[in-house]
Amino acid sequence: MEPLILLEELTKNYDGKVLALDRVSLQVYPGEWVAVMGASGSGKSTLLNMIAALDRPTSGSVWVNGEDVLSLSEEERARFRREKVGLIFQHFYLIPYLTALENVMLAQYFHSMADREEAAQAVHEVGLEQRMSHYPSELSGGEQQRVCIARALINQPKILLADEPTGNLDAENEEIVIAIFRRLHRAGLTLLFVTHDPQIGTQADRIVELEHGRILPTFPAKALRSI
Amino acid sequence: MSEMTRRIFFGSLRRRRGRVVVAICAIALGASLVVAALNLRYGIKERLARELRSYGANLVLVPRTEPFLKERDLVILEDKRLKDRIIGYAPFIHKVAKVDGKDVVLVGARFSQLSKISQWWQIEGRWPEKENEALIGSNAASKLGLRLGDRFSAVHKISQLSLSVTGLLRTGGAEEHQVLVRLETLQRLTLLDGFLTSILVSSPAGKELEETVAILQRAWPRAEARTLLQVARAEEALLARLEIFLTLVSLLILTAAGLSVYATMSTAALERKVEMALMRALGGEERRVAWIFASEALGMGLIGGILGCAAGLLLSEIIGLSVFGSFIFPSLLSLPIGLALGVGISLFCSLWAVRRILALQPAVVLRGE
Ligand SMILES: Nc1ncnc2c1ncn2[C@@H]1O[C@H](COP(=O)(O)OP(=O)(O)OP(=O)(O)O)[C@@H](O)[C@H]1O
Ligand SMILES: [Mg+2]
Repeated sequence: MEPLILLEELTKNYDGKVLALDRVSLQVYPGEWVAVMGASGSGKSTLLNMIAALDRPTSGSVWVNGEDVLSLSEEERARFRREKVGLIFQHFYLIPYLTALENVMLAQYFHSMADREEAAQAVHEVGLEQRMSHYPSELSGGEQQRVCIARALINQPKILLADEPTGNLDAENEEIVIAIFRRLHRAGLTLLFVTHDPQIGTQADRIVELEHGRILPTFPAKALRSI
Repeated sequence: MSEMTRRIFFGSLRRRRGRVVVAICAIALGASLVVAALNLRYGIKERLARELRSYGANLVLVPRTEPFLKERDLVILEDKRLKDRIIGYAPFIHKVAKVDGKDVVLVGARFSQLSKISQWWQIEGRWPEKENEALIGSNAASKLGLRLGDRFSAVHKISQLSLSVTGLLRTGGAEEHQVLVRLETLQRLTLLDGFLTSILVSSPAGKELEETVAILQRAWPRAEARTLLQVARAEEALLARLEIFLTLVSLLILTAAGLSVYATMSTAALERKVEMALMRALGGEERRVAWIFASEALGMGLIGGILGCAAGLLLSEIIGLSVFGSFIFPSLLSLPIGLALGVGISLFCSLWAVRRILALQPAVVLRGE
C-alpha cells in the first residue's frame, strides 16, 4: 500500500538558528490514526504545518496523496489545503461575526460553493444541531471545537490534521471530541494529531514521538497500552 | 455577490461600525465639497454663458446719484446718434410690496418692449396685456402659492392692487423671484408716476459696446451705464474665489478622510489578522483573501462617495440660491468624479494595510499565544 503521507529527511531551520525539525522521515498509511507527541518546542506544530502546506521546509521532501507538496505554487498550495487536508487548531479560530453554521460554510466557500444543507448536516454530525445559528461567543469551548471539526471535515479531506485539539478543553469536552475522532477513524479517515496527553495518545494506532526536532524510534501504541 | 461574501462583508462592517462610520462620514464630507465645487463651477458658468448669449440686453442704465431716473429722459435713447446703436430697450421700476403678508419684489415693465429683448424667457401662459394682469417668477409663485389664473392683491403702504396671474416665468435669473406688472400700474400704486429704477438696453456687442457706453454716459449724465458683462464678471470673480475656498477646504477634508481610512484599515489589519490567516489556511488564495479585506475599504469609499454626491448636490443648490440667486443645473460629470474620488482615496489609503494582509504567514499567525 502507498503511504498517504510520505516525509523524507525533512528539516526546518528557523532563521538559521532554531532547528525545529531535523531530518524527519515518516510514513502514514491511509486509515491510520497517528498521535504526535513530545515536549513543548520539539517541533510538533512545525511538522503539521509542513504536511498542511502552511509552511515550507528548509530541505527534504513532502508527499501527500501522491502530490509533491513542495513543487506546488502558492496558488496550488491553497488549492491543496482546501481539497486535501482538514485543519483543527488548539485555539479554535472561528470567525466571530459568523454563526456556527456559517463558519462551516466558510470552508465550502473557499472550496467551491457554500451549501447550507450540506453544512447543516456536518454540524448535525458533531451534535450541534441546536446551536447552528449561534455565534462563537455564545458557544462553550467544547462546542466551538466541534464547529471547527465540522468545518475541517466539510470538504471531505483525505487527512485530518489536528494540533492539540483538546488542549483547551475540560475532561468532559475532551471525551466528546475524542469520541468524534474515534468515529472518524472507524469510518476510515486518516488522522494525524498532536497531543501532550499520553492518555489520549494511546487511543491512536501509533505514536510518533519528537525530541528536539527528531523522531524517536516508533512503537505501536497498543504495546504502550499493555504495559 | 454570493450569500457568504455578503455575510462576511456586512458582518465585519457591523462589528467595526464605530470606526467605519467615522471614515464614511469623512469621505462623504470630502466628496461632497468637491461635488459642490464642480457643480457650482459648471452650473454657474453655464448659466452666465447662457445669459450672456441670450440676453438681448447687454447694458443696464441705473441712476447715478438720485434714487430714480426720469421716464421722460427716455427720449435721449431715441436720439439719432444713439438710435442705430440701440436695438431695443426696456424701462423698469422695482418696488418691494406685500402679497399675502410676504415681501416680494414688484417690477413694473413695458411688456411690448421687454418681450423683444428677452426672447429666451420661458413663459407658461402669456404676457400680461391689461392693467391688472401679472407675470410671476416661478420661485415667487411657489413662495406665494399662486398658480396660473389665480387672483391676488399686492399692498404698498396704504395702496392696494388686485391682480390676476396670466403667466409663470422661468429665466434662470433674478426674475424668477419677482412679480412683473405693467409699468404704469406699479408707478400709480407707488405714487411714482414718471420715474424709473433701471433700463435694460440691447445694443450690438463687441468693440462698439464700449463706444455706446461712452456716448450714453455723455448724453445722459444722470444715468450710469454698465455692461452686463461686468455684472457677469463680478459673479465670475465671486465664483472663482468661492471655488478656491471650496477646493482648499475639500483638500483638507479629503486628507483627513484619507488619514481616517488609513487608521481604520490599519487597525482592521491588526484586528482581522487571525481571521485572514485562517481564511488562507482554509484554502483561500492570497489575492482572494486580500480582496475580502479590501472590500471593506471599497464599501466605505462607495457609501461615502454616494452620500457625498447627494450632500454635494444639495450644498451646491444652497450656495447657488443664497449666493447667486439661482438654481444650479446639476452637472452629471460631478457625480462619477465624486464617487471615483471616494473609492479612490479609500482604496489608496488602504494599500499599506492590504500589503500587510498579503504578507501574512498563516503558519506564524495561527501558532497562537
Ligand atoms: N516562526 C518561527 N520562527 C522562529 N522560530 C520558530 C517559529 N515557529 C516555531 N519556532 C521554534 O521552533 C521550535 C519548534 O516549534 P513548534 O511550534 O513546532 O513546537 P511544538 O512542539 O508545537 O511546541 P508546543 O507543544 O509548545 O506547541 C520551537 O523552538 C519554536 O520556538
Ligand atoms: Mg505546537
